[in-house]
Amino acid sequence: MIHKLWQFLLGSVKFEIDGGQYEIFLNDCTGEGFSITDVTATPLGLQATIPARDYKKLHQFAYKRRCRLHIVEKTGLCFNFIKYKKRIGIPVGILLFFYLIFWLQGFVWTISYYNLQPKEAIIIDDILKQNGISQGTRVTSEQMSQVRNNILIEDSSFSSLSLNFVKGRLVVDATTITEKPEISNNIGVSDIVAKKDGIISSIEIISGFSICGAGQYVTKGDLLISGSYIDDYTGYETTNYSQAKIMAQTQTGYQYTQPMTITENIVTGEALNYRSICIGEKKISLFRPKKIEGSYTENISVKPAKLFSLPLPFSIETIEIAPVEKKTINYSEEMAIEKARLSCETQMREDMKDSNIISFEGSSVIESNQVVYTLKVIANEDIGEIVQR
Amino acid sequence: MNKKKIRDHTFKNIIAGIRPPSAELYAGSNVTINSYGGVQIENCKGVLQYNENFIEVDLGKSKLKITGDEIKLNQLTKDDISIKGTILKLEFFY
Repeated sequence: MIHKLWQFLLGSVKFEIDGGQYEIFLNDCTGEGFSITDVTATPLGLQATIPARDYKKLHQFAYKRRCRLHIVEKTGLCFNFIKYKKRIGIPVGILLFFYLIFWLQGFVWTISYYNLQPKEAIIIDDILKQNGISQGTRVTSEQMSQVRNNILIEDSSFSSLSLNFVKGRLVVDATTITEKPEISNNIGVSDIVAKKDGIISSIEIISGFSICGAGQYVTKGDLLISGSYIDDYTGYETTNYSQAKIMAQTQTGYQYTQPMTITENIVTGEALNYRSICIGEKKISLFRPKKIEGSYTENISVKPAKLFSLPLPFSIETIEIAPVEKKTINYSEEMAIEKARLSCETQMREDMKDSNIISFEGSSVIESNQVVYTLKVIANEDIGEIVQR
Repeated sequence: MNKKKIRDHTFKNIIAGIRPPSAELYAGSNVTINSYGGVQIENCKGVLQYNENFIEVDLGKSKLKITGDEIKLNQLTKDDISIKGTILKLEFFY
């Protein structure tokens, strides 16, 4: 096996000898130190294999012994490459390929984010683009440290940020600041007042002196917890900061006016996608812009280019253009009420995230081509508001 | 036979057993034949005649003629010949 491999790598020639004293020719060759293999007899002489480097030296012996030599077959790597001897483009292409791969390592092929939420990654991506770092740009360590400082100055939500560039890959690793817990201002005297009207359902006092009781109806601004107390016997005033959780049953109202006739931009035709290749700050358009008559919407999105899920050192910008037309939409009564109800309920759920909604009831009135929807919500919520004296 | 003669005889036998073969054995050509039709000739002087049915090799003091079918020379170097084929007869000529 190893012998065959060497024979292939170094190249071998299968030749035929006929006529003359071929046996003595063989002895001459072996005497000279050539290694002849696979010798078989033919009707006129014999056939043998010899390493390609020794074949040319055989002719002098063949001439001496009146033999004729014919090449039967040439095998080996060197003979395979002879075919491509004059095709300079192949070795040049291979060299160019490796040079390009080496050279392109200095460019940003992909940006990876670690320890970051998608929203934060988008923010950093925008800042990087503003500072001239995107797919296809060449970055330096000075530029990266400058960008890092810029990001930390512009966005205070990061406690640490590192930009590492390794062989075409820019790794952004960041840690967000954990919010400071709210420390109650317990220096000085403070009271708790009602920020809403309601019937108190429960009181949990941490510090301070209660003025109200459960089941009491309070209006906005009423004092609920006092920070000072005067002793009846001694007449001394004791002051304190106030801290308490006062839950009360409140009633809140929402109102939304929905016109029954509105004018909106409606997409009337097929959306067209125009793509461009973005290499750093340069942009190569892959389309011929067409003139679009009338008004249209434009949606631009930039995505890193990938080939079979392998990143490429550029990004693709897609502009989606859709023709639009201003149209008047007439809502029916039911549709307008439903739309207004949805708006009211969305707002209610957003406002009362921390409250316990007990019940809600809606009513609608049609007034001069518009629907006025009113939503009444009964909820159990904390109505206490700390007021410094 | 007295004891001394017995001792000398035994000693000679031991010496003969551990003595290396004579130099003449390696000075001439060595022919190795196996049962798969392979013949290896070392220290040969050259090929005198060769065709499909027989090969005649010069061993120096003698000649060896190997007769058979489809005789091939696997390897041919200055001193060694490796032959493969259906070997039918080996003849030595002095």
